[in-house]
Amino acid sequence: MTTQTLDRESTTKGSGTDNVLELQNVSKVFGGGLLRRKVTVAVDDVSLGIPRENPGIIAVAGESGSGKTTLARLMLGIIPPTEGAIYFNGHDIATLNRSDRREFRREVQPIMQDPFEVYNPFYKVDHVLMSPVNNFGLARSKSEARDLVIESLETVGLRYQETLGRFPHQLSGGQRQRIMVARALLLKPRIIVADEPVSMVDASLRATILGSIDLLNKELGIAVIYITHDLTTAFQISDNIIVMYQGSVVETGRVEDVIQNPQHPYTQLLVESIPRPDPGERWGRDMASQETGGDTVQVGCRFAPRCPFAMPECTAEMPPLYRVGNTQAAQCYLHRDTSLGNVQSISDVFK
Amino acid sequence: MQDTTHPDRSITPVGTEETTFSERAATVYRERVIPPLRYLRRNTLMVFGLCILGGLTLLVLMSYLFYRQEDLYGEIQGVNGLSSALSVPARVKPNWNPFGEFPLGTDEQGRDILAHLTVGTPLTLRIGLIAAAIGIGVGMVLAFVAAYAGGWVDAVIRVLVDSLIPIPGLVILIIIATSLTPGTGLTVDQLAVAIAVLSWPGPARVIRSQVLVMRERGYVQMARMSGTGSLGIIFKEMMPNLAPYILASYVGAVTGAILATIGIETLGLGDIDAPTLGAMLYWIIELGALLKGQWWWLLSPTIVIVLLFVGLFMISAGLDEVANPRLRRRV
Amino acid sequence: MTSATALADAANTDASTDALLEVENLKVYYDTDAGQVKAVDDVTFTLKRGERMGLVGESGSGKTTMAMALMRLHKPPAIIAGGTVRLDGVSLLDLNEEGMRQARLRDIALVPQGAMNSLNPVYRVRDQIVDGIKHHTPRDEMPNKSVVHERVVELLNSVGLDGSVSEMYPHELSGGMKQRVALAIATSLRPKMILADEPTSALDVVVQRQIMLTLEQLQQEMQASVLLVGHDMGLMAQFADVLGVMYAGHLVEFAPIDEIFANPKHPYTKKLISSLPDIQVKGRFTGIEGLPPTLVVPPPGCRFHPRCPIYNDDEDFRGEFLELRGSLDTSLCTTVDPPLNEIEPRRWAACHLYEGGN
Repeated sequence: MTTQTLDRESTTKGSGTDNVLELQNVSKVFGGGLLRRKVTVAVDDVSLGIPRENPGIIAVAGESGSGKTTLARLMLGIIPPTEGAIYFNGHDIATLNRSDRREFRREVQPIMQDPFEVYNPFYKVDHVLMSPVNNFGLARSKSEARDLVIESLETVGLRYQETLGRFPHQLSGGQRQRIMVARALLLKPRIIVADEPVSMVDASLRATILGSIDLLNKELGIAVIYITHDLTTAFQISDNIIVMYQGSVVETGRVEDVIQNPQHPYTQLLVESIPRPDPGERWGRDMASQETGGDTVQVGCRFAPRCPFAMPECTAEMPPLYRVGNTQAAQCYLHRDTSLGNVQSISDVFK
Repeated sequence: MQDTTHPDRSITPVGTEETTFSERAATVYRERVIPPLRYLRRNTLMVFGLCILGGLTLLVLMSYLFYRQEDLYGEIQGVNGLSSALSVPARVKPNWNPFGEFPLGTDEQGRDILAHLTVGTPLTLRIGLIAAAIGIGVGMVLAFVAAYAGGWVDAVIRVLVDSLIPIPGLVILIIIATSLTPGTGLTVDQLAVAIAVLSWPGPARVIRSQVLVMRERGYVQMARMSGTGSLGIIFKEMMPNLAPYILASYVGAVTGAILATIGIETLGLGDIDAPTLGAMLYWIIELGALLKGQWWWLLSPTIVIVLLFVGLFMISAGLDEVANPRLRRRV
Repeated sequence: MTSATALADAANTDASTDALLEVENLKVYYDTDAGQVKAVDDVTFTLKRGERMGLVGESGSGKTTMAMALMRLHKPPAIIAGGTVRLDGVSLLDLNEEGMRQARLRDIALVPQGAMNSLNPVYRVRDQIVDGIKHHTPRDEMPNKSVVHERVVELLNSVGLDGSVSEMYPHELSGGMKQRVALAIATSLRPKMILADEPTSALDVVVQRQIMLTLEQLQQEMQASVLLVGHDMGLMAQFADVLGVMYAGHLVEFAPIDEIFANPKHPYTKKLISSLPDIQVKGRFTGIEGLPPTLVVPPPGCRFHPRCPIYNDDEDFRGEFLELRGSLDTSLCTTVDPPLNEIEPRRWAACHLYEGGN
């Protein structure tokens, strides 16, 4: 795997056919211009491939400011990377021709966080479903388009009589978000980037919505990038996970390994802090790792100022991603001596 | 609410193609006409504004259609059609107060004041409407170009707008009027165009910032993800939501334009022979009507102008409430 | 255990049996164009001194409306349509405006949702803390500047912040620090009761834990009661002693936290708990079918019956409810709104399943 990555770096194109979407050493830096001097590294050197076959669900977890939403926007092509490149079917998305760009647009689709913001208040909810059908020419006639829409609504468990012909404010948050899943289903894209799809939805409805996202993956083989701050839902629906902290990937791998046996001190802190729904098992009382309100620009491991295990080398240079198991890697010097080598592309440790 | 049996699609016809025109019209009425009307019940400011302007229009129209008066030559003249002769000097006995045979009296030059107002109010309003339409149109196009093209195009337009806004329009108009047409003054249409040229920067700035905000809205991004092109996004996604802003800026621009025309004409830089409200004020001042105790000559145009401005202001404030939901009273 | 601590414990238990907050038949209604919305309908419960109560419910269940009404901070068009609220024997709904203003912060303090918006951006942290103290202290009793400053530093230390924070402006603080400042303000007059409305909803889990532990520490130190309003059952399990569950404007269950998790009585609570995702077992993650009802036209009878697994005789859900289900007259569910009854000592539930026994 490592050699393959090296090969990739020597060519200008992506690795070709085995990955639908591939991120190569992608970084995104905000600020630093004449007006905004303060530099924020939102995404720091991320390499990741999303395979064509059995893509699974990849969770990207982190706090606000971890860069997870920036990563989502990079994948959707909404913003360009500052460094590195993103390849779609082997072509750099920055230089796609018109028809390839159109294909990329259609094949990589979002589900956004706020299930109200994405609806134009002027139109009924039909508009958000019909416009992709019309724009991408998914149906030959009006009635065919309508059948398609109805079918996709029913697949996500909505009755069209209760949804079509309504204005967005007449529906509940859960219904609105399920319509967005239906919209994604309608387009049958290769990749769905779901940015906190259930954080604004009631707990009792989360399972249903995540269930239908899971269905898109299992039944239709659509790759799902599930961006979230909630490790419990990430654990429940995803196969692999990427944990981010201030722009860098601190730990990644198979979700069971990472969450049940975290290897990076930050992941450990995150997992410990989950409010477990069990009054018999309460939080530890130690208040370690106070947050720092200070500047985020620094060399070395971003977590070092809060880390109980920080060593001198942590603040000197950023540690590489050490492979700590077949399906797990952590970006921490604690694993330097026991590691099985360095990981170049995050997806190399995915199951 | 309840999970009843799954309805059969073949039993309930739903396709849009099966609905008749009258059904569609009824739906449009129910969804697009009734809710705004219901909303109006709460937006009293707008309702009052509309009532004032509506009332004024009605009065002018009634007078236009039915007001008849005998002129100096014993002929019955109306303001209707060709024979709007009563608003021309030396047609009626001068200096009659409103308690005689002329409802609003006559002026020193022998014009019937009611006839003068009946012709002048629509004429002044027309200058405002035309000037504002041109101004808003130009402003809107530039705003969309700036917000969409970004980069140096945006920078040029922004600098242009920002440097034009602080320049007092009236001063420019005076310079235009005195230098272009020395002696005669601007005609009514020239005046409208001159005002339009000066009235686009304000709306351009407001609309540009609205477009920039709206471009980042979730539904615009979603539309882009759905393959909608730039024109589709501008006209289908943004325009309907910008409509209240544009309308509010338009009403504001109409107010500004009317103020400008009255100002220019009162100074005598417009066409002083045209029967506009501004020209009327010019003559009132020129001939010293108040010194001569001709209070009625000043009173009636003042009332009309005040009603016009109050009405426009109320509509504009009401539209602001529609455009800016934070001002909207909670449900 | 020495006899002294045993005595103290006994005193504590004594103190904990007397009621601090008594809410009876509280009704909060909204008048809207679409009709009257009974956002809070006939809610009754008692919170003891020094007890931490959680209040959960979906959005629109009326939990926040009720909490705000307790402090008379409900916003129009909401009106309190009936009921009583007594804090330490004082009827809050009968106080005049000035009396209520005095009672806020001094007797019952609020930790608002999203402290980012509750702090004034143009004042230093110190001034915002002093402001509250000033408004509740007669001018001639106001201590001098250095005493006040000491008090501010003490308060900031008590919420885990450095005294130097007092000189900062809100924009210089992180979200967690702002929420700590909000905690310091809320506890500045040592209130009898703290009302926390989703105090950590905008914060990350790590910071959330720190804030909740700080709140717990302050509460224990002051022997205050806490009402924590939220939607996260996990947070409730970590924090609360007793839990109230709201559904469509009603309090449907009220019980000690460990009992409610071990043996929920109301089918809604049962569903709510079984819908919680965990990190132990994968795949055990189901939702509640259907949607919360609109409060303009609530379902007749029990408001939960359209989604109720018992009423709809859900195969997967019979379990321990099977026996009770046999004696349930389901026609009651669609006709009679079940009242909140004490079905076992310290356990209240509003469900027709338990009416035969009582």
